[in-house]
Amino acid sequence: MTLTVVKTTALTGTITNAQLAGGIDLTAKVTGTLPIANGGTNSTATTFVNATTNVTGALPIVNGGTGATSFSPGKIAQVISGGTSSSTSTSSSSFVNSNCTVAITPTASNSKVLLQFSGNGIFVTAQATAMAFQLVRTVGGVSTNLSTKFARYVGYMTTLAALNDMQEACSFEFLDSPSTTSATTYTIQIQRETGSGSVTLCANGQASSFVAMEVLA
Amino acid sequence: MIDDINKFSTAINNLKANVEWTYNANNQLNSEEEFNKILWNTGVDSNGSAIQSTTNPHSELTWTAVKAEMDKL
Repeated sequence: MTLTVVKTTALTGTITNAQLAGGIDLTAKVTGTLPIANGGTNSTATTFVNATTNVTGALPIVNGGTGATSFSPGKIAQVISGGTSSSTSTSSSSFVNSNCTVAITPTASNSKVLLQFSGNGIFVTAQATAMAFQLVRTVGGVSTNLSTKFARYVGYMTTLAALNDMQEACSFEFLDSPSTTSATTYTIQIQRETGSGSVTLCANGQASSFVAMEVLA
Repeated sequence: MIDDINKFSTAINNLKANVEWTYNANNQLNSEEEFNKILWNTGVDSNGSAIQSTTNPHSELTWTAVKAEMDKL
C-alpha cells in the first residue's frame, strides 16, 4: 500500500525549477505589478497612449521631432501639360500663332508660372531660311509679348542636306509673373527669321510639348 | 505633308515674291479646300504679331495657278 501525503497549507520559501515543471499560467496565476527591473513597465493600465488624440505640444528635436508647430506646404500648386502635334507652316516675317498653347489659371496672384517648351519637327524649305520663336501671354483677350525672338536662327543648318530628312528640335524655359488668378493662355509664336522660304513647327505631326507649372510664392 | 509645304512655298515664291502666309493644319496641302484655309498677312500689330485674314489679297495667287506651279516642281 502506498502512503500519500496531502499538504494542506500554502507553500512558503523559494519555488524551484523542478517545482515549475508544469509551467505557470501567466494569464490566470500572476497578479500584481511587475517591477521595472525585471522587464515590466510598472504600469497597470491596459490601454496605451493614443498618439492621434492624446499627444499635444511640439515633439522635442532630440527625440526625432522638429520642434515646429506648423509646416509650409509644397510650392508646386499645379502642372498643366499643353502642346500639340498639329503643324504650323508660315512664310511670315512677323510672328504668327502656332497651334502650340497651354492654359492655366493661377490659384494666387503672386504665383509664378514656369513654362517649359520643347519644340520638334522644325523644318525650313529653302537655303538660309531659319525660324524664330516668341512667347505670348493672353489674359481676358489681352495679349502680351513676353519675349521677342526667344530663339533665333533655329533650323538654319537644315538646308545643307536633304530637306525632308533634316528636322530640328528647340527647347527653352521661361519664368513668368502673370499677377492674376484669371484664366491665362500661353502661345508659342513663330516667324521666318531669315531667308525666302517657309518654316514649319511640328512637321509631319511631330509633337511639341508645352508645360506650365504654377509655383507658389 | 512636308513635301506639299515645300512645293507650295516654292510655288508661291515663283509666282509672287515676298508673299507671307500661314497654314495651320496637318492635312495635305493639295486641294482648293485646304488652300482656302491659308491665312494671308495683311499687317503687323503692336506686339510684332502678324495681322492675318483668310481673304486672299493676291489676285494672281489662285488655287489653279498655284496648283499648276506645284505640279511643275
